[in-house]
Amino acid sequence: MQKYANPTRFNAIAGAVLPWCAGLTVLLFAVGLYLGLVEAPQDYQQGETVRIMFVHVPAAWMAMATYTVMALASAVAIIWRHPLADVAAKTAAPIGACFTFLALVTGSLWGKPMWGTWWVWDARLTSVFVLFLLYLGYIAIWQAIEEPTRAARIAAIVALVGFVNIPIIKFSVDWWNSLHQPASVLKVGGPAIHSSILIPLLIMAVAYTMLFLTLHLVAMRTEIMKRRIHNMERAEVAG
Amino acid sequence: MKTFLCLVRRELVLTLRQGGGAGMALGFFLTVLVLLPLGIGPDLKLLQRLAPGALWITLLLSVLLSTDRIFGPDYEDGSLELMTMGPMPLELVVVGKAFAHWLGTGLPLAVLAPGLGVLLNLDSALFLPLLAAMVLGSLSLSLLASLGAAVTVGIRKGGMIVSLLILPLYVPILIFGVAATSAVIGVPELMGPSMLILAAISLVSLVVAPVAAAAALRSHMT
Amino acid sequence: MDWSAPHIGFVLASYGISAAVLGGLIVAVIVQNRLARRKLDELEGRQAARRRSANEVEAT
Repeated sequence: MQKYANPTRFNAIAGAVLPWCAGLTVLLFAVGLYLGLVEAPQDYQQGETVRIMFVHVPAAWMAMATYTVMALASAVAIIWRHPLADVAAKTAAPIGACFTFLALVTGSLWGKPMWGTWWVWDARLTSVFVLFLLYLGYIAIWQAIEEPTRAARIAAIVALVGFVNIPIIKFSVDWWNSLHQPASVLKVGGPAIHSSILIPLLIMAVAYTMLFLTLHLVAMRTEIMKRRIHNMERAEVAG
Repeated sequence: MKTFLCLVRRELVLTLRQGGGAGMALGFFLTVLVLLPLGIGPDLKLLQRLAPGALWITLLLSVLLSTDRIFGPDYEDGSLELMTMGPMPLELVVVGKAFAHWLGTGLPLAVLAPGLGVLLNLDSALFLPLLAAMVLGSLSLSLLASLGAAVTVGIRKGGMIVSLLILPLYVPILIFGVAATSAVIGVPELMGPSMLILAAISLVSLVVAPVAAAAALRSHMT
Repeated sequence: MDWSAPHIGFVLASYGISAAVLGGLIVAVIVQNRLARRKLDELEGRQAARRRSANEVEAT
């Protein structure tokens, strides 16, 4: 791992990998959208609205996956002080926040025709909402602390504490829901998903993942450049 | 142990002298309890149903109100740095400060809450469970609040970020706290498990919060 | 896709907002990258110029 610690090395590798990631992303989106919107049949219960699944579920998966990446990077930053780790964590956050926002909004748009309400407080949705707050808090910490090394460590602590909290919250809300809503158990997806729905879903999920990877690599390169700019500007002033 | 008690005593004396502790939290608590019925309506039955949740939420917010007091002043005048060089490990310093915060804010509010709950027509059968649950839960509230305070010490607008960071951590305490409180009139078998979970959360916070808070404080002070 | 199905508006809104947010994100990431690159090139140019003039001063 130390091999990739050198930013120049990282930039070189990222530069080589990026065109492939971007290309794959476009390809996967094209195939996934075609299969999802044109080929896949209507659901006998949900009608056309089942197609919302193809943008909602990948967004929700990416929301959680990105936070996991953030937490892992933060752990690496704290334990091994790998220089690129906090760059990885910092740049992942805004992307993850966007995915989370989309998960919430598309979830709401899916829920209204299906359950009749724009929102329900079941464990999954509540956890995603809290996840959104965690992203916002993490980004706010980076904005609020000026000194970069200090900000990196504090942010890493924040990310890890949040990561530990998510399963606790999910469990608590699950328990709370079992008390308050014995009747309607809201199952998103229902019985076994047919392959004509599953395949577009999986393709879209991989497409979203490749999109994250592409954007994350670009954002990391940007952040590395910004740090060099910061150092050079300080050196200029120091004369 | 003596040093620990010394620290707790110092915190409490400072709080009393500055008057920003229990008094301010109590004032906030009362204000919210007045606003709630005004906003919801005088329907006593509705208020009674909402009372446990409303009281708990008000407790959460009141505890959050005074977080900058925990490390702020000492950070600014350099006493915090002295404390890191003292005989007690920084983690214990955090525990001491959180404990003092609890004694000064959470605990008094927990004790007063059942009486104040009358304003919301709280069912009298819930008085004792509310007291017990709040005493148990408010310890973890103070511990987590000190974690939030440690992360945001010295940051401008730190108060707003603290809420964003700590309220998600408060969610389980809120859920199990309300469950423990209203179990008596709902599902009585739940009271025991809920109280136990509250105690467990307090114990876990007792370990996790000081460690993370001390790490954050060290990052701020290097 | 059946365009006249009930609730089709929800489907369109979902895809629309997903495209908007993801598109905006892509644009933002790329733009920030370009801006940083430009700034870095500018700074490196200034640094190179200063080094050249310092060398000239040394040479004399």
